[in-house]
Amino acid sequence: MPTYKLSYFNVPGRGELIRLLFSAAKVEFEDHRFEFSEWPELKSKMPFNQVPVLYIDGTPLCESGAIFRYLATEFGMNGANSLQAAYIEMVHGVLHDVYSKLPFMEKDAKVKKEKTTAVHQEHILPALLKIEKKFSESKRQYLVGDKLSYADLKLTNNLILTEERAPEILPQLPNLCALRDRVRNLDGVKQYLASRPESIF
Amino acid sequence: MPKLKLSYFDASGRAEVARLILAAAKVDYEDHRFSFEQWPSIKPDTPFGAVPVLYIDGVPLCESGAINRYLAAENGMNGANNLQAAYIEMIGGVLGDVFMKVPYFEKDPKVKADKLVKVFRENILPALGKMEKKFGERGQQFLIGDKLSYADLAMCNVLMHTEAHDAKYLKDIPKLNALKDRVRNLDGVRQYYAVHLPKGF
Repeated sequence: MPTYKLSYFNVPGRGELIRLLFSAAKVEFEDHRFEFSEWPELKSKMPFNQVPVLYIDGTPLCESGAIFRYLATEFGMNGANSLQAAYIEMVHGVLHDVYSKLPFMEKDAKVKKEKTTAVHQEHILPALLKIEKKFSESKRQYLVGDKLSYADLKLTNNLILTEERAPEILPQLPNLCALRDRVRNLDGVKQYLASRPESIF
Repeated sequence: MPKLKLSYFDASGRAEVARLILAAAKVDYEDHRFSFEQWPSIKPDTPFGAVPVLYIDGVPLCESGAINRYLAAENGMNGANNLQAAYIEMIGGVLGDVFMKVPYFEKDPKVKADKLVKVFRENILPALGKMEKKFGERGQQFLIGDKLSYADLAMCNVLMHTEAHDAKYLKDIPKLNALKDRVRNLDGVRQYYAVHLPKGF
């Protein structure tokens, strides 16, 4: 097993799925979190001036997708074949597309709350309803295939945010919420969620 | 071999790497291209209101990353192992990050031209410069590993558009430019470019 170090801001953002993968796999890693004030100095040290960066035995790998797909494959959380891997990536991509429309950087609390509600109604809920329908028809325990994948971790993290910021949409998604609750209670994930810093969103 | 249909606008955009993979692999598929005017009538039939969509024996797969990586893996263009696959995705991701800043839809020609100069100077050329250096040090024929991967196709795509836009940008990246010319002349790719030559930005 190589030594792993993840470098990212002290926020969930593009680091959180990576942290959840390590947690679910119960693989140790150095979770290097830095503040925005430290970024100007760190930026020029990164291969392409961006984070997250995953150091694998000291060698850097960047681009969050490359990192989490690498780890997911190493940890057996990227499906049983390339078609399942494709559907896992598709679900993750759709969730990313809709959740990234949230006003993470909005400073006005009132505007932020209004936009968060609007994004949930206009983008997040329609996508989740489609996924809920397919998932409930499949009668599976996990979104794709028959074991935990990074799509399940992504969904769980996103629905925990929705629990906090737009819970009114959740009654329409009973199977996805049940999946969320199974995943959040997995050994490894449970401990990480209990100990992670509170989100600033 | 499943029956494939790729649906996207009549543009490179987010479908081009998939088309290049299929061209290089010499795999038959339906290259369904539609106009912006047709899009409103096609959109409701897509799984999540977005393209590209790859129909595999009629079953839709969306998200360009999922499509690209599925086709690459099926056609031996996703590296020899998981770590190579990660570095291939990293290169594709960095190229996507920097070329996404191009003002593709800017209508004012002068504003567009000025923004393109800025994006090349501040984002694209620095990233390509780093890749040129590493590629030169590696001294291999392909960006990652020892065979064609979709990273080489992604690089060929952006550099073909760059050449069409303004060939002067290629003079400081001779090794990447030579890679582009090797890839464009590959059997399959050559015939694809004879019909769909990149037009620039």
